[in-house]
Amino acid sequence: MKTNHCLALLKLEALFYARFLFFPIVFAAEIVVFSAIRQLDGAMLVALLMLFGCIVIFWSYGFIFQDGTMGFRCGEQRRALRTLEFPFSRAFDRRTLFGARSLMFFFSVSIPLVTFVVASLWHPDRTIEINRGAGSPSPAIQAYYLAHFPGAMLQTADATPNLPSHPGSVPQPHNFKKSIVLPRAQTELAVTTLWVGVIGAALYQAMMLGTLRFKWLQRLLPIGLGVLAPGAVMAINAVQIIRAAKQHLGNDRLPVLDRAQAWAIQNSLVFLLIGAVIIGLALRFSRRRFVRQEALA
Amino acid sequence: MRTNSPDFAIEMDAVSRSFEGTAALSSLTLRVPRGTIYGFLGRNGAGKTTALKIIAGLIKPDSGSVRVLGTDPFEFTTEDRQRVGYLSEKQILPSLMKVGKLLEFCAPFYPGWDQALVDRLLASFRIDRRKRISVLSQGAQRQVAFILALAQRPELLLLDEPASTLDVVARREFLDEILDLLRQDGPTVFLSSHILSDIERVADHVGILADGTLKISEPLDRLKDTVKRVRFFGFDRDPGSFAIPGAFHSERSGREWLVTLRVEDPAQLDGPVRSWGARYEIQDLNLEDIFVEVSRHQNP
Repeated sequence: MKTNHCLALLKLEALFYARFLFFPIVFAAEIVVFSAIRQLDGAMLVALLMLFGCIVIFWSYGFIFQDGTMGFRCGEQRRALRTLEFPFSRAFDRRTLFGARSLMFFFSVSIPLVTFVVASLWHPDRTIEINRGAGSPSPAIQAYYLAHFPGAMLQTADATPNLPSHPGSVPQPHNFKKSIVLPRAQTELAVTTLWVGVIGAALYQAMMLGTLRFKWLQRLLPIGLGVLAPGAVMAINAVQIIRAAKQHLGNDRLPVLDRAQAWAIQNSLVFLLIGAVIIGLALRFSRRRFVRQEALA
Repeated sequence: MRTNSPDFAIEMDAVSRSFEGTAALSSLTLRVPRGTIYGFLGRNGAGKTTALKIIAGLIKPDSGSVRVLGTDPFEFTTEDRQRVGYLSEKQILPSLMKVGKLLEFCAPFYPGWDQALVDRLLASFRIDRRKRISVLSQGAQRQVAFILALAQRPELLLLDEPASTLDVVARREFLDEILDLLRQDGPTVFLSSHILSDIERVADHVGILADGTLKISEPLDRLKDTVKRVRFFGFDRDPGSFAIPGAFHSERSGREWLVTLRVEDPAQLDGPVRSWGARYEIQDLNLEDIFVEVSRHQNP
């Protein structure tokens, strides 16, 4: 009977959630496109996920929380999705209801992140080109990549154009192109991002349920979003500009994300454990807050 | 913790609750005997909905204690909830669901689910179970919510303004259902409504809430037997400021005074009236008159 109740509540939440899967699916599609053209490096990923995160806040809070949480006006249909009065006045187990609601939240947040993992399987390696000219990583950075990414190796490929020769033509000088290949680095980045995303979602859920006590915090949130959302859009543009600039101005600093990824790879067990503890604590706190939540709307 | 109180389905002691500094309930004490239909009256903003939400375990009181079927309602287990049916003032149902699906969805959560009653009420209210909730009229949505609350065969049925969006016919059918239910199972019904004629028709106990406190709580018959309007007239001299302790309302009209008060025994008036050199006449009041007299001075 208990299992039936779980399934019934999960079905109910899924029904409500269906229309809100639009945003995660759009972001998943973007990630597929960027992955296909091999433009999804760490910085671009962060910018995209920032934007996604802002939208998540707008669209998801109602499923965990209730109408009026952030002072947004909404119609009856949306209120029907948000209000806790209906489920809380039925003989539904609040813990099970939280589990179903939370599962749907994590599912939707995970859609673009899991898509990134799947997309990365097509191009699992990362290649960092080393040119003699501007934009090439400095020898120290090259050494860092080789030392900190398992299996990283220098690769030299003959990039001489294969032009048809004819009698009397001068042979083309060989053009050897050097690069550092980081095996499975793109997949590792995707998995790391998924793990960080799940941790972030758990913390976000806990934060939102925590703020229900404090009206002033609820009112601050939309203001914060007003800054964050345009900030995320600007960040995407900034990434493009920085990337273009790097092509012309040398590259002697190791990207922070690459450094973080290297740390995560080398300390994967610690990283997993810390994440699991954070997620566990956040979920426990969220569930307790949800179970003790009043249905005010 | 469960405490057995066989006489009362609902017990509230000195319950207060405020929202952002505004008091909705101020030290409300209330007893609802088991098996009664209790009409809970009050003007807009009197605190009826807050009291009902506290009884339903949806919100917590700031202070005071509440026992519903012997349990603190905010600590209700699923088993406790199976015993309490609740229809809120603005019941919002899952609008994407069809009526039949919603009822099917809720049924497994209640061991006492009465499918025959559901079928009978759907037919009686002429609600098509294949329609989505969102396309139903406000009145029909309310009827579906009412069916949901009733079908679980609760020991306690909490109804907040249940008939507010129903037309006269639907309201009459709804009241008949309540009466039928009471005849069959004898649950306690706690009912708030603005429609006093409805309350007068079905309720056997009445409570009048004003400014967050309960001004009156007693059997309806006794209320109507004892709360009277008394016209004092024929004063020997100008009575000036005329005050009777415990009066609900006093109003001067020329050399007469109209006072609404509890008159347990008309003889209680003889002594004071003789000292004032006046005469009096007792007028009966219906529930609406009593309600107006008791709650007219509530702060809006």
